[in-house]
Amino acid sequence: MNWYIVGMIRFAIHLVFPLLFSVVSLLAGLSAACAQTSGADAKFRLAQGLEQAGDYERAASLYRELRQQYRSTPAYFEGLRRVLAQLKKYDELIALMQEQLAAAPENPALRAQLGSVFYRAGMEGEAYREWDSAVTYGAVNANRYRIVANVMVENRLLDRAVEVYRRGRAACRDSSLFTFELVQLLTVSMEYHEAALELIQWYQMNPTQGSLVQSRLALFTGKPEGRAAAIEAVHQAQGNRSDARLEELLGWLYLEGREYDRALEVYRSLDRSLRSEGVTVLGFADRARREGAFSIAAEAYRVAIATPLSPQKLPAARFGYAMTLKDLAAVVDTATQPLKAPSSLGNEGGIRYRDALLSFRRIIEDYPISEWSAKSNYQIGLIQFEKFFDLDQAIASFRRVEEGVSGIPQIRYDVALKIGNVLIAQGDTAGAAGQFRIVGSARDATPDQADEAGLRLAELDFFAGRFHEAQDRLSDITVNLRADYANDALALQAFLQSNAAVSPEALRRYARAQFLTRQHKNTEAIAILNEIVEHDPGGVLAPDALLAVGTLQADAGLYREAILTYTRLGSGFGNAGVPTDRVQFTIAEIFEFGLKDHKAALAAYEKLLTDFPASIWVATSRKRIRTLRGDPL
Amino acid sequence: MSIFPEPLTRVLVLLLLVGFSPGTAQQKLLIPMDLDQSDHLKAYGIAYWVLVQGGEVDWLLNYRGGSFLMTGQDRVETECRIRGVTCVSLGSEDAARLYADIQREDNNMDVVRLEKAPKVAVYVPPGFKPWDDAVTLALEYAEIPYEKLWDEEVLKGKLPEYDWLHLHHEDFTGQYGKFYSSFAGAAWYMEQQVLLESEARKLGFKKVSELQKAVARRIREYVGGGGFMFAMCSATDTYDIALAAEGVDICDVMYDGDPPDPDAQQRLDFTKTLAFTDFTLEMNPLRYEYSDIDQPPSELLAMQNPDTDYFTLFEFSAKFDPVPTMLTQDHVNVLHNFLGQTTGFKKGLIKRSVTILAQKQGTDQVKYLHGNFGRGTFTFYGGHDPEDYQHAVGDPPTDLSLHRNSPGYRLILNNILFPAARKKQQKT
Repeated sequence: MNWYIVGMIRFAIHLVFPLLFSVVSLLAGLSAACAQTSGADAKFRLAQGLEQAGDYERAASLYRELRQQYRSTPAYFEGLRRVLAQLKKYDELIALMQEQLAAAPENPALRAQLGSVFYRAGMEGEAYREWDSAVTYGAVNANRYRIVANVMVENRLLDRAVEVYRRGRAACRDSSLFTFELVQLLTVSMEYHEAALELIQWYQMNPTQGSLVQSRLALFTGKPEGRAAAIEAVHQAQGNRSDARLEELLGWLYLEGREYDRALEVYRSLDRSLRSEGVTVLGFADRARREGAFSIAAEAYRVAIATPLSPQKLPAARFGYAMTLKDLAAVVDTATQPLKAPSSLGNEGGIRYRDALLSFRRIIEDYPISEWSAKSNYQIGLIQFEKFFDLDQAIASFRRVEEGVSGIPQIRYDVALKIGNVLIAQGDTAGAAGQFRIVGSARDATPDQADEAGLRLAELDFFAGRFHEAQDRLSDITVNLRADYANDALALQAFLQSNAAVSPEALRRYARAQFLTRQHKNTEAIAILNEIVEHDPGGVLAPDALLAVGTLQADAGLYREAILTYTRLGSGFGNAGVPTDRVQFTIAEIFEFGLKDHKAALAAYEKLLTDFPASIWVATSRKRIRTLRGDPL
Repeated sequence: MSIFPEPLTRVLVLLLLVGFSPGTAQQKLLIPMDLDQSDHLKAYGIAYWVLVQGGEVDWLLNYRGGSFLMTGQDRVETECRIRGVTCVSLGSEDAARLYADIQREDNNMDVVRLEKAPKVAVYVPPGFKPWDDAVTLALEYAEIPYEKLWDEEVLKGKLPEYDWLHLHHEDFTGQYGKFYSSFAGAAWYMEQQVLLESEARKLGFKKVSELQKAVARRIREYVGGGGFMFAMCSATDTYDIALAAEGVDICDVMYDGDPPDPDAQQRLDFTKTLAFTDFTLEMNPLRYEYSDIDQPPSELLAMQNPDTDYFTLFEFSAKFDPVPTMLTQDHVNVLHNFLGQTTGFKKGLIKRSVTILAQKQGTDQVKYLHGNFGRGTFTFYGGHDPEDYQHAVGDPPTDLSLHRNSPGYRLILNNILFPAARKKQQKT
């Protein structure tokens, strides 16, 4: 037993006690180390808190202590670096960073930041030297250049950053390196030519990226100077060689700037380069026409057609060309706006539309049973009716459309309405009514087609003196005030309501005059209208009749007669519900746009301002006066 | 008791007034500026046009909303008609009676003779559009000509060539409008920054903020020398901040490449400012606010109700305080408020020497103020566009032909005509 106890004691002395001692010592050591670490942690957290609160001085002193004790801990170095920068203690900061850099001389980010500190401290020479070392230290690495350029951008040294990227590109022997970084910097610096050159170079290396290049160019080509710089850059890149992609880019740039004539030249050349047999030029022609550049569109269509285009594309191109010729002729018609153009064209007008008509006719000859011949016939019918008032020919053209598209109801009803209008102009009211009734009763006609048919039937009733029937028809249309024809219907309805009961006989004669007007029998119409005025100068219809006379005279280009009529209307019917301000405004317009007598026009507009200060025409009159005077507006 | 019978007395008084009134009582044309006026804004343009033509204009303070009376009847009347301005012909006797009435001691009215069309300059960066700024919009609409100048012209000393200077809503602190948090990536923001930086470098400044402060100081010299300065929106508070921060870096790293001075606030010198004092800078670079001058602060703008947001013009004695009276001529005295980067000014931060012209009732928001500095004057008007309650970047311009009777825009135009007034000795 004693032996056992002694043995146990010995065992404890030799083995357990040393073990216990070791454990206790280890625990004590660990505890001391932990206490030390948690003290640093607490200090670090406090420093961060002070830094976040903006108390940089106290944060700096804590970071300094930590840095002294733990030189290898990056977080303490970073903290001290940040707060010294905030405190603008550049000397201390430079020393700190140089010390850190001595331990890691290959760290490009640290070196770039040191350069930044030098720069902020006003030591620009040192800054540039440091940045230079940051990119040249060690092996060539694109990332070094990116880091330095970014630091330079932070210091708003954009031009220097551009230089660094370019040096990096040369050093790395990769001409596409940093393209988009450079484009961004150059664009922001408004160095558009250089930015465009960068993109062009990249495009040549990445030929499938045309849309990306266009989208980047669009960042500055919205400005004229940006576009001009980009165009110059494309020319420069082209040199003397032909490059279809660059030509396409050039054409796009010209179109963006609406320089259609130059764009056409480019697209012609592109068409040849791509051997697209006119399709490229045709695409350009369609766009130019959509954008209202009719002359250049016509030229482009001619070029495309003459290429020659493939047989599949040719009819569309020829129709586009014919339509453009019609548009061109119409531009001349509207040049005298706001006065209405004469309703029937003379020789001059005939010549203008001759080319368009000829083109449509050739399409009909070459593609007799086709969509294109139907469309061409329709256009011919419109020109013959609306421009030449050649009613028989117009009807014949519309009938040919009808034959060609009998299976397409919507087009057939459109044509029927046109034929009905021509028949009215021919005086064939029964025939016209027949056409309108077909459309009016068709279940598959569109609401607009049905409304137009109803309105025309009401007009026929009006012309025939059947005022009640006319009003009934009109009320069907005016139910829906949003309909396209509701305004016209309301106007006629109101006119009938005002006059039908008071002076039905005069209204009948007035309606007759309106019917004659539709037939361009203006002399007879004017005689009837004058008769209404002479027969009962105080009658409710007298002012309307005189107004209609003036309008007919002005439409016929009889400007002096129209002015006399309007002057009579303005002076003699002031209290008869005549819109005398409108009359005065029309007089001024006739002087300005018809007779081109600007002095008289000025006086007439000024009279409107004096006599009708509350008129709705006042604002326009003021603008016209200022324009006529040549005021800068 | 008069020795003349009463009607004769009246005639004599009239005759005397004809002789002594500021305007000769011949045939005159009255441009009323009360609710009868069809286009208040163009009316200022007519007054300016008459001055340009060498005519004289009498500004009838507090008479029918601050009406204008002028000679040159026929031509002016025609021009009024063409520009859509309401005018009324007055016979010599009516005109004399009107002058007499205005100058009666018991009426708070007076006549100020406008003699010379002031030469107007607008301080704007290149590439600015007239619709960016309420003042240029008003000038364009009223057809009052102006010239544009920028930093280089200011630093070269061109300001004294002008009678009146408007500061486009510029940021004189060099923080690019503090749009960084919202628009740092926008092309217009980046281009603006590059443009201003290159201008600064060209003119020998390392930082834009330093250039802006130099410009602010030149403008202060111009005002001190007798110029008239008018600023709106953020050009008001940033101007004074720039003056107070002479030699102090208040811009954070994204604006000028380095942090602000840690003791920037303590180093502000309020003796250098024109209107504001003891303000606290907003040092958070991402907050859309420069200081605590702006009232209400930007964060509270969303809580403003446009339907109930009004400010009131103060009334001054026309005979004793003609300048504030001129600046507050309007056909209404309670006006719709409008917001801006700087909407109004905190009353407690305005120097005592400054005259408050308008305030939002029941609050400490001052909307419109005026003060003298040296031999010149300055006027600050809070908000961006009087007819667009909350104008945002990229919003379409206001069409003033739809706001031709705008009382808010009238205040701007009062400022343009005010330098045309003949200086007379202050009664107070």
